[in-house]
Amino acid sequence: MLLQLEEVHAGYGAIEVLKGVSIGVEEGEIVAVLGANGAGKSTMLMTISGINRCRQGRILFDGEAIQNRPPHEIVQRGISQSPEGRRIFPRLSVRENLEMGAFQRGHGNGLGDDVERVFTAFPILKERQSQLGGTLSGGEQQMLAISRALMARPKLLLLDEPSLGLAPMVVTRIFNIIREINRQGTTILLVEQNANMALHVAHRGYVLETGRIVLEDTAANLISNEQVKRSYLGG
Amino acid sequence: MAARRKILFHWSFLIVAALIPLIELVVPGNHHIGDLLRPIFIMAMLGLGLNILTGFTGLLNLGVAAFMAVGAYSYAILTCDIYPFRLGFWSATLITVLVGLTVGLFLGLPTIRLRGDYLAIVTLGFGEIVEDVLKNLDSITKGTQGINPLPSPSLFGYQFRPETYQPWYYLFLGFLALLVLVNRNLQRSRVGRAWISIREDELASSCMGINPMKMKLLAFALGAAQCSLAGALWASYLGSSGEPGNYDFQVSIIALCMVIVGGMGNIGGVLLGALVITGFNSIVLETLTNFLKAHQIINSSNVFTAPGNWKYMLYGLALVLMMRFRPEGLLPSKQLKAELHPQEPHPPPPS
Amino acid sequence: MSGSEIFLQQLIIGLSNGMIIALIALGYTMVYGIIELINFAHGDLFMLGCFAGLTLIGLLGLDQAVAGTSGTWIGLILLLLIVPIFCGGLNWLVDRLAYRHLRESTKLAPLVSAIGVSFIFMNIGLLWGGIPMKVFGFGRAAAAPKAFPELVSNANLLGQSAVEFTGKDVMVFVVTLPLMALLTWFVRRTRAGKAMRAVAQDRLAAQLMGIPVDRVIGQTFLIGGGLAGVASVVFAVYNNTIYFQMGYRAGIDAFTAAVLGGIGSLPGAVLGGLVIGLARAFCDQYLETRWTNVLVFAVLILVLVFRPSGLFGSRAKEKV
Ligand SMILES: Nc1ncnc2c1ncn2[C@@H]1O[C@H](COP(=O)(O)OP(=O)(O)OP(=O)(O)O)[C@@H](O)[C@H]1O
Ligand SMILES: [Mg+2]
Repeated sequence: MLLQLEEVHAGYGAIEVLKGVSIGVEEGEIVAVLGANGAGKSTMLMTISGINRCRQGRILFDGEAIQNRPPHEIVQRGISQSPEGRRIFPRLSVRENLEMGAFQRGHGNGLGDDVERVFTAFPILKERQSQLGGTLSGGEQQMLAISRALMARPKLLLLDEPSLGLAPMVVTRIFNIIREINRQGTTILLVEQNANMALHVAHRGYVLETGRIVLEDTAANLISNEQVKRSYLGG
Repeated sequence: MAARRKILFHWSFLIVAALIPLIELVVPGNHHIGDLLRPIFIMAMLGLGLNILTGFTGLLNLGVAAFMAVGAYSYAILTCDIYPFRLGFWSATLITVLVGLTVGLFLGLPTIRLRGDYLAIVTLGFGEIVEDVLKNLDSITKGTQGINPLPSPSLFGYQFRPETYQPWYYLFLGFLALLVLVNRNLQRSRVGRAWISIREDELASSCMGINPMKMKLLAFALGAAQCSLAGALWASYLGSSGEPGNYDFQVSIIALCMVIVGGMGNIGGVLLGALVITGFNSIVLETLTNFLKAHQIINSSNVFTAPGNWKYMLYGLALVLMMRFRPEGLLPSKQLKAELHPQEPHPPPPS
Repeated sequence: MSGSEIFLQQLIIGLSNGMIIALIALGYTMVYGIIELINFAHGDLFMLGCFAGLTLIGLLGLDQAVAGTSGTWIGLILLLLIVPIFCGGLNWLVDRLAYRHLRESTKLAPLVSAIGVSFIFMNIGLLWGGIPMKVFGFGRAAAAPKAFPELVSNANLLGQSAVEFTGKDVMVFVVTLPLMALLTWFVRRTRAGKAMRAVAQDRLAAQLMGIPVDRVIGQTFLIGGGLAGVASVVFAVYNNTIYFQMGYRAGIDAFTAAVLGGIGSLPGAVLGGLVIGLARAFCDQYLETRWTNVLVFAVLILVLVFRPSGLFGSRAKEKV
């Protein structure tokens, strides 16, 4: 297992959001986590990234406990996140946004090559490289957010709702990119509302309901699961 | 049951306070605890006024000394012989309170929409402007001399005299008790609950049908009125408006210290804060200085050994340490404690 | 002096003092940009810098030195190196000890804490003046203003002209302008500077990128404090008197400048500093000195109430 959550509890103030979540991600997989609004998906990713406190339980990465380590250390260990709502630095240029993604690695270590690789994959970002991040379109911002997270050269990439607010055409494009990233060797943990798309790229999936995992299966089985169909695939 | 015990507690406080001058009369010796308590009463009133703004409503005000100055100067103008008004104590005090109310409204109207830290700076600026204007408009305010002499009040047929402190003591104690009563009732009223809900969550409170602007404005007006009452009483006792420098930024911060050290939003806490902070200044430091001087441990030419020279350090430390370790104050109000100790960090929104 | 000469003179005074105000304002605006804290103690930090400078002069034995000799030049350079380190380090330390623990609490808690720090600094300044050194009058009148020796010549560079433009004016610009250029370069081009802007724009996203946010905030305090330290030296050399309560005034002027320029904006702070410097100089001359402070406060209040994003354009284009 590359990543393992064992009975993780987390929350805000008196509210407990995650009530003992256990999931595992194997090296090389794409794992999708489905769940309704407010189920705790983002909270889970933020707890992995060290932003939210893990109140109980353990998070293992490469066999080492990483819960409640500072966020920058988690990035250093090889987990980076493209957060919900993208959160591009609005007044940094596209290129500077990418540089920030590589912050933990320092300026030397092949930064220029990585930027070039991103630009080859996303020519539109190359065109916009000196434009301010806040002026990009939603789809461009999403590409930037994913690329920015990749700049850390993560072993595990956390993606929180990469399809949020994008047109269907762009969504397909983004998911193709996700598949391609995975093919090149990055393990991905994907949180999505768009269950259909998510299950089509993922190998396995979990269903999170009000802070608990209620279902776990291969993506193919989940797609044909009646309960999943009803709740997340729109019939 | 608890409420009743609390009332009993408050009454016993009042009775003890009321007995102090009598005990001093009976017990032989030269003591002046009652004398020293008077400024504490005045500062407590100032603290209660600030508490409405900062404690209840959550609006940080860094210029309450200016409200006090407004009170002192308008009382002085209304009573001093050199002006045409020459009012008596009650009517001058009443008008002063109304002036304070108006000034509070005047300052509040354009500023209550501002975010918390900007509002704090605006009130600071207001305080400085009032101080400077009082200094500069010397044809009216007599500049740094202040307006004086003011006639000592004559109440219920009794003529107050500067030399005998007991009548002043009871006058101030009476007003303080009155303010405590008013503030308690305010706190429990619909208005008080609205203030507290604004402090906790302005957005949510406006969804509950509270008009935050109106309520904040009311807090400004009532807070300012109380502070100016404190100013009026102080002027009546001094027999002078005092000079503008008596109402500078440091006084505002001392009032803030009282509210924060005692416990924001808690009336008992503010009284305790007044006792600790002002008492520290006028009793502990002074006694210590006199003691050290009498025993020739210090001489006046060495700055380090004079306790008075450490005053601001202690006020500053009080603020820093309270914020760090006990932001709810020594006697916290319950809701505020829950508010100030969130168990989890909240991810900040994107700017 | 003719009317135009008077005008020119006030212009020079206003610009020189404005540049000093701008240096202090930069420290306000950087800290506000990154953690939205009005660092109330910043003015008093500047004051302590002046005291540190005077102490250093005493230690170097420069209190009787004649302006223009090699000793004073070396002294000035030493001051410009050491005092900023002192102020920057102190600012960093205060963030570490006091403000860092308040990051997640209400916004008013760090402000109240900063007011407390300001009082502590002011008290330290009072006691500092009581140190029995020659430069402090052997500590006999701790609270009294202290004379700061003339490290730079006061001779008029314009020869016989009634308008005075001295070596001190030159020094102000020679020190501040390159420093501002350096700061701009740092914030725009270096990795640390970009990280500062990233933290200012979205702290959570910065954390997710692996930027150690607390360290970056600490660096901001360090640099902001360092700028205040440079301002201390330049101010003291330019004006030749320091006293323990000067931080409050200087702080208000600088904060007003920062607000005027749009708090969070670096060029705004510089522009705001110049405006305040000029406004003070012209008010002193053409209105009345005693109304100058009222003018500054009125500007502060009016801008906060009516143009909280500053006078020059939209809110904080280049934050931090
Ligand atoms: N900063 C916060 N403070 C308090 N409560 C929060 C905070 N963030 C999230 N919550 C609460 O935690 C619960 C889970 O939120 P979370 O964002 O993890 O849900 P989610 O599954 O990602 O939902 P969505 O699909 O809408 O993004 C929600 O009830 C939410 O109100
Ligand atoms: Mg979410």
